[in-house]
Amino acid sequence: MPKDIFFKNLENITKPLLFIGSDDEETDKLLIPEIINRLNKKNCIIANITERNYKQIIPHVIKHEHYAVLKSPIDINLAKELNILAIEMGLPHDKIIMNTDIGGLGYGYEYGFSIMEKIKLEKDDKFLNFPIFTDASTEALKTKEAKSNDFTNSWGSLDKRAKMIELCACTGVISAGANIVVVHYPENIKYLKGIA
Amino acid sequence: MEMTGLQIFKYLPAAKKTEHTNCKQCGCPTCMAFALKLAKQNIEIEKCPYIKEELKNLYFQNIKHPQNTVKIGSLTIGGENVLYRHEKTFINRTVLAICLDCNIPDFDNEIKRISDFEIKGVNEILKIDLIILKNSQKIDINNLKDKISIEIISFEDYKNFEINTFTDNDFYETKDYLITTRTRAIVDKDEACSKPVCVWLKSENLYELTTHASFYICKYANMLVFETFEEALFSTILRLRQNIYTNPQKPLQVESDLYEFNSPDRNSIIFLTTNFALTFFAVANELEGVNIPSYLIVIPADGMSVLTAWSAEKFTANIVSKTIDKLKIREKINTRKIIIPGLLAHIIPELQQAVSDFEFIVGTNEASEIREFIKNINR
Repeated sequence: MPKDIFFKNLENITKPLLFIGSDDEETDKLLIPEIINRLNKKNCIIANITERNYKQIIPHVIKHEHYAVLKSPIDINLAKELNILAIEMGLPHDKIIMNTDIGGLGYGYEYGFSIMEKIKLEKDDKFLNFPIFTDASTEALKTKEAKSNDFTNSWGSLDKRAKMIELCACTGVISAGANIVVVHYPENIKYLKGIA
Repeated sequence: MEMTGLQIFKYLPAAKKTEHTNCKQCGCPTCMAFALKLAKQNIEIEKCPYIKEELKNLYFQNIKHPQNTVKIGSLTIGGENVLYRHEKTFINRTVLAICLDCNIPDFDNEIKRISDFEIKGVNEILKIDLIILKNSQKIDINNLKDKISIEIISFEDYKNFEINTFTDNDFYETKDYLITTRTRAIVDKDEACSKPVCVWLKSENLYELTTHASFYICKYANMLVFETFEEALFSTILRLRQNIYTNPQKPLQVESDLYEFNSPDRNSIIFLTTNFALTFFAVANELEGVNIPSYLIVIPADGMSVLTAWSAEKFTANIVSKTIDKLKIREKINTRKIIIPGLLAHIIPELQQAVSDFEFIVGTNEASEIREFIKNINR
């Protein structure tokens, strides 16, 4: 869809918007500011901003009054550091959202899970007391269990399994305290609302 | 939660320098020594004749296990002592049980289906833990046990276990019950909350079951009973359970071995890395996805990642050399080049010296760069 039509159609959307960049840090240095500057909206959520590209992206986020999802590699100290760096650039506290990253379900998922629980216990730390955004579902759906039919009968049908993998990955992080969760299968939303 | 040596010491004679300070009647040279031993439960509290009643009460209260352990055949549930796995670890995995009615028409097929169910987790085969039989009066359970490879009990037997069963009629009620019970047990050492909790799931919707079961596994259910069986559901939640119940202090390792991807032949490329599960999976996923045949040599590095292993001297030229010998690489493969993790480029000279008939090549720093790397070396 040509860029102009895309941005024009966005204006018709009244729900809050979340933008996730390319997840290639170099590309996002250019891509995300470009998107922000064409957006005719405020209060959108801009993801994923990292230690390698925050300097290029944060000024645009601040100027247009958006929220910033600051992503760090499953490390509480690096998460805190990035939050502080963004604040020092002028990002308001109430515009910070954290993405502490996570492995796919079955592939070290527990590391990401535990770091969320740890952060949620640090309510008195003003540099960690921010909402948590997670794309646990995206990571889980990248695993071969969610994509391939090359499994025994004990694994059930791929179609059901992929949806359940997303539900399971999302539910776990919700139980750990995640506040914003990406969902790929629209039919899964009602089940997640039932536990959130 | 646990009393430290210092906390115990405050109640002993030496703390206030009263009579009997360091009297040695307990067999320890000082009150502090006794306090430290007592904190680790390496000495009996009665050995000190001058211990205050106050301390005795506190101490016995403190060493009490917050949650009871219950054995169901070969299975163990309960015995948990933390609210968050990162505090130490969760101990006994949530037992997953299927409740089956013996009167259903295809009972024989169903029970076989459940018993045969098995998937490969990390380093282990995962199966259903337990079958609970309803209306089993006419069934010869012992006969069944000989044929079925998992634990079986009757519903009547189940009711005799010292377990709190909570029926999952409403998610928020169940969640609240699980969290309140576990918190009171651990934080208050409330005896009324010391029995393990089993949630009896009632939903007939598989997706709703998935969310409920996933939540309860993460939040304190010692056991879950399902009235429905579905392979896709269990192959998913068993893997969640394996992740959550992994001991944070003991990172998962894979076997040191020669792994194959995309049907390699004697001349395919060879990669090498450590046996930390996450490192292995990261590399393995890349190699599998690239559609080029390859081998991966995994060295025994105590489950450490590349840099950690190197700094702990678990990734040395000597160990690489021994692994190549042990795995009989030279007999199985003609290729005489091995691609090592880019982060360890600086050890290539010593590798060359230790293993002179192979050439060592600097690979990528990140697994995600492997795809591009392989394309380039093929040119």
